[in-house]
Amino acid sequence: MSDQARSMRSKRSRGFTGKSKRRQNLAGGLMLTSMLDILCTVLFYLLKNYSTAMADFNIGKDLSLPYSSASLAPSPALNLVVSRTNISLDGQPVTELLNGDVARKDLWNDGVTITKLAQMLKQQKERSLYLAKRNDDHTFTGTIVMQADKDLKFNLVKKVIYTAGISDFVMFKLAVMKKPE
Amino acid sequence: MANQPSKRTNRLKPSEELMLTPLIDLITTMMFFFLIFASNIPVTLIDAPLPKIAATAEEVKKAKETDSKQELLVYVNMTGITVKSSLGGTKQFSFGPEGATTYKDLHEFLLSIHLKDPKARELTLIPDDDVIYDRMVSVMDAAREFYPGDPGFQQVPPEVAYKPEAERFNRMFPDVSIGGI
Repeated sequence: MSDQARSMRSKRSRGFTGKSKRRQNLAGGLMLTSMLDILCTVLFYLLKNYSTAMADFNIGKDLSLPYSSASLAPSPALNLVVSRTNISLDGQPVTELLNGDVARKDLWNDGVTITKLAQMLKQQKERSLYLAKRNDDHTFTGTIVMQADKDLKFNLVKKVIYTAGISDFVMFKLAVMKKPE
Repeated sequence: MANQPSKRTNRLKPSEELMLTPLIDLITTMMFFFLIFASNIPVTLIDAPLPKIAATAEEVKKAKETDSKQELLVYVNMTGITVKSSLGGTKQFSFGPEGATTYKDLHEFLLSIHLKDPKARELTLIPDDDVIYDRMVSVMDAAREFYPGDPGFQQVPPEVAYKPEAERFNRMFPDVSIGGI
């Protein structure tokens, strides 16, 4: 028997070689590459369509916004929340509400201006003007976004709007929920 | 002679395969985060700048020289809506059991006024103290833009939807001032 024939017989008797075993293992494994491709595509699509402004926009507690057909996307601005129980400015509590209205003691002599809100807005304006002096990219636009509960009466809403107006926050934007199409 | 490991052994070689599992974990987590949070904050904004008082002589002159001399006042109370216009006269709309019909009728009337003076963009909303905020937003919706099927309605291109550029399309009376404050 030649050496070559002996070697072939010896391989057959051992079964599969190590190389073919590795090949078999590869073929039997989960093919993750195509799944990863799909996941990456979906992720990039979501990243592109995800607005950071929307992510920054927090809807206040004790609040249900009215539905509207408006389509302007939220933009970063001073956030004034008028809920059923209180008023807050950028997360800082301003005043508590009594029976859906501001208590008389929290109002200025004119009966419309909300004293603490006016003070806080004045501080915000001064801070913004201070920044504008030192930074060319920053300007005071007087933009304010109001989130108000849909069931609040105009009697309260007008006090908030009036106070913002006399504090030079005249670029008023009303936050609403997008009406389902 | 000391034993040496075989040169053909694979035991000491580092794995050449890319570790995909942590990458897939990360992508899946991010994908679910975006899927949940990108779709659940359907907040939009309504522009409602407060009326500015013309302070300087130049501003007063400019205000007098505006293209449209039309004055459009919309009064809202608990029972209905009254529209007073120099072009369309006075018309009342009662809140029936189905509020949507009232707003549709209001929209059609405002559209007829807009067609008489297409340059007019301003509307003053004067709600009673008892009127709820939700009703104010509904009146703004009826006045702000054309509905599909209205003369002049244009489909908003998808690439500008929800962007400030979309505000150029289908505007009827977008500049709503809140009066009665």
